[in-house]
Amino acid sequence: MIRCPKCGALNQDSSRFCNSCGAPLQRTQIRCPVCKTLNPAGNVFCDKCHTRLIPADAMLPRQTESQPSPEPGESVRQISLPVRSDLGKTGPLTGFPDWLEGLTDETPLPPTESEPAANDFQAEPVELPDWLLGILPQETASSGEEASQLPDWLGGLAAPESEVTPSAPAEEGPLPNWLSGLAAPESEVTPSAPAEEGPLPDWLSGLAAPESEVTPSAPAEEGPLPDWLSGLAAPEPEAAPSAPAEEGPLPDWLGGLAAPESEVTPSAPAEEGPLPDWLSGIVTPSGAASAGTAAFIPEAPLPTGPAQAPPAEEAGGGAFAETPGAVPDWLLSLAPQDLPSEPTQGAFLIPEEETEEAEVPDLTPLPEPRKPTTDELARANVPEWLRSLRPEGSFGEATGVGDKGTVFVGAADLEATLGELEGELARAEIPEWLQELRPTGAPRPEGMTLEQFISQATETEGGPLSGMKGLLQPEAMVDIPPDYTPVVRYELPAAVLERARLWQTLLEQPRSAQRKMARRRVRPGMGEQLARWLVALVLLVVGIWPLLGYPVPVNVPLRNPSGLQGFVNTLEGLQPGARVLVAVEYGPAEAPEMAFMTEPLLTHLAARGAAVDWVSTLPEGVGLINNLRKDPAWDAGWQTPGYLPGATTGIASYVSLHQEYDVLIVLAARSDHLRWWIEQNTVGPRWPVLVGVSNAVGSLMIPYLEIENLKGVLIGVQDGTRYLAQRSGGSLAQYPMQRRQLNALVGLQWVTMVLLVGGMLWTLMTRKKGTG
Amino acid sequence: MPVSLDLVAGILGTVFTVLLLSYLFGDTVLYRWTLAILVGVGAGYALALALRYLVYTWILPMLDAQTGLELRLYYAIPIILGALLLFKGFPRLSPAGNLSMAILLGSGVAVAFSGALLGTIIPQVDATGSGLSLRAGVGQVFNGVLVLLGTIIALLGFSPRPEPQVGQARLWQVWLQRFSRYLLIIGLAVAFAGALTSSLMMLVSSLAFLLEKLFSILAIGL
Repeated sequence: MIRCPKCGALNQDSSRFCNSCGAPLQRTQIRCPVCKTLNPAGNVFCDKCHTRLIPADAMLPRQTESQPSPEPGESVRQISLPVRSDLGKTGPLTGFPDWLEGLTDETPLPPTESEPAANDFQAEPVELPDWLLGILPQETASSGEEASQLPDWLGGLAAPESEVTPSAPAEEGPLPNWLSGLAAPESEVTPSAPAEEGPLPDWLSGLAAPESEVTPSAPAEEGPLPDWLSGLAAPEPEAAPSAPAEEGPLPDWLGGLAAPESEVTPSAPAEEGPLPDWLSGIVTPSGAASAGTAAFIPEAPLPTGPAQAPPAEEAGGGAFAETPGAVPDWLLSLAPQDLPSEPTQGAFLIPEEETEEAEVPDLTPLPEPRKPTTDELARANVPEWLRSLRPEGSFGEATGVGDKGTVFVGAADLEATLGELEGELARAEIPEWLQELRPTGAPRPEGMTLEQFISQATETEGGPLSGMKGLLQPEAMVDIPPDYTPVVRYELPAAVLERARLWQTLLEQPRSAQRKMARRRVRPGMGEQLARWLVALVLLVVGIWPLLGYPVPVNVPLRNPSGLQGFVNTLEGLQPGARVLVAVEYGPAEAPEMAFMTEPLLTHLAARGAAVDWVSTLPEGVGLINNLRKDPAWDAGWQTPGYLPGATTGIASYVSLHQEYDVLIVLAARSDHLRWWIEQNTVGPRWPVLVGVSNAVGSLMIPYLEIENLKGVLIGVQDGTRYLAQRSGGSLAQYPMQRRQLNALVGLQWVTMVLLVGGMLWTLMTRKKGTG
Repeated sequence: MPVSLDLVAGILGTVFTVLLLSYLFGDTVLYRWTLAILVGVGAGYALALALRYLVYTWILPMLDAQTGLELRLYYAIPIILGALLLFKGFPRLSPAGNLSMAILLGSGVAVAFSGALLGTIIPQVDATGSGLSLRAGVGQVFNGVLVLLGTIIALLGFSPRPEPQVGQARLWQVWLQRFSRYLLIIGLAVAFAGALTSSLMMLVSSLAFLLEKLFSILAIGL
């Protein structure tokens, strides 16, 4: 039968769609544990390799107790299904020898009163756990119809109906008397009609399921059992106070099968009789740990699990599970360790050796799936970085591993799978270039989980992945070659290094220390002070002496400078009313020197009747302009734009907006201001330019002497005095103070020159070696 | 003798001149005080002049009722830009003055670059080349050759490499480098001579001023 996964209804094996809801039904196939071939449900042997798919123990009557099945354990993996529904069908059983099949068919017993109950019980559908539903062939789902197909002699071994499968009972079939006693009592949770106890043979009376406290099913009436079955009667356990079946006479050949009565299993001992040879090997020795059950019944409580016999208090199926005995190792290894001890259906496993002795058809359990050993896993070519991701625990501690469909959780599963596939997969070889791409970070230490390792990793700084942890450190695309050695082409002199160290020291000093150093003065020596006073005295005498009107030994010639003639000619060419722009670009300090040119120039302009506009890019220049205009002789109604801010930008703006000037006169003692005017005039209107500069600016004016629109230049006091003399008829008699100043200046120049040369010679003579 | 403003100005001028000349005794406190006063007065004068210029040249015309809207905008824009510059004094608000600063720097660099290129470099190169013309005579040609050679050699002195020593380079290269340095020294010496002459002229002017004031006080004709 196939249970509909949607509505839960049971359908025929041949149904492809649910008869109740119409949902498609999935057919179950059995995978051969040896050759992995999928065989159709119902195959006992593999179509390909003839491996037995259904173990013989599964052909034994299964328990009818319907309990929620626990999760299938890994240990039962690839073990053929323990339950097969067609075991109960009538007809020859494939898993039993002929003598058993013939025995069952040829030994009909008269029907007893318990027969209807047994048939009723067999007709009850059995609820299978989910894990079995997927594994069982389609025919395994129990139903009343299926139960009715069980042979009579096995009908009593069928499990009682469960609470969750209240399917309609099938028609009761005749049950021989000798099997009526095997009918399991009904439990409280299965409100089916209790089967009346019929006379059970003696050998079956012991098989009657003890009545547990939990399931106080009504005891079946004991019926007389034939002698040959009395020895098979299971002893009644103390903990399972079910009503034992009445012992009946057993035939002699079955007397040996009767389990000896023990304290644990107080079933009625069967009389010992001569056993046939084929049964002698099955008979278990009497003792406390042995039960008087058939030889194919395990003597010890099987480990709980899907392939485990149910405990006596819950299993109403009889004494199979109650009988203690030794459990073979292979069966113990199959038992999951963490499954609840709840009974499942049809989980009867027979020890291999006993089965062979009893000439039971091949009941050898299927070979256990081979697990890779730790060494094999270790030898697997798993990269180190992948090993580091393995969670804690051994290889066998895979979690979530089921019989159907392994769920890989963690590296343990992965490595287990790798171990399984080791023989099928070629050993991987990682090329060198790929080896170099391995993570370069430190491996994860043992005992640290991956989450802890990532949490302690360094965060990535910068880039789109900033803030993330556990990332590979980016490497530079262009790396320095290993054999690179920087070549210093220039070596700094020691003096430069020493100066750099001094600067560094000064900069690193605290502020207070710097103040102390700044306040510390190096007092000049006595000789130096004397020399300083001597120089000052000489300059004062040489300067004051001419100013007092005393004659000087040096007669200053009044030579006609080269630029004076052009200067004068340009001014003489001005027509009355001509517009002249005068830029005053000097301050009060340079005013006395510039006065040698300013006074004759203003006089000249006033004489020519020119209209003069005064401008200055210096704030102090405006004051000088206003001071000059105080003289009524020079203030001929001239305009005074005055201050012109903006430096070169202001000049550019002004010359671009005023195109009406005929001459530009620049009186400058600042070289940059002079350059601004000349440049912007050259770029802009290109007016004729007359320049009067101080001696300090004169040398810097030389490059502009060849400019095309430069018409005349007066440099310093000498040119100013000559211009003044020219305007005065060639003599400075009218300007005695200017003459004295000129003599004083020339005298100071000579003295200064002598002092400079003398000082240089003194320094050269007194210079110590290694200084300077 | 009546006390006039010129007399007070003359006396103050004389005192400050003497105090400045006290530098002869070293960096004294009097010299520092005098220097601070002169700088402060100059800065105050410049600030007063700038404010006066701003008020009389820009603000008042803008506020004049007879000024049209366009002219008001013409006056207002520089005032606003100038006002934004005041935020440069506050670090948090300094970005507000970036626009004005950008205009100042941009226009200033553009004007300076064009002026330097068209007003200095090209005319000087033209003047240097024109000195080689035979129209001006042999003397001018000789002068032009000297100017050209001096210019080229002086430019060679601005080499990024260190001065080659004998043995490290060819001998003519070593002397060429040295000669260029000599030309630069001469040029700087001429500039220093002009600056020294101006300084001496300031000293003469100061001495003449002192003597004039002194004699006027003493009623002695200079």
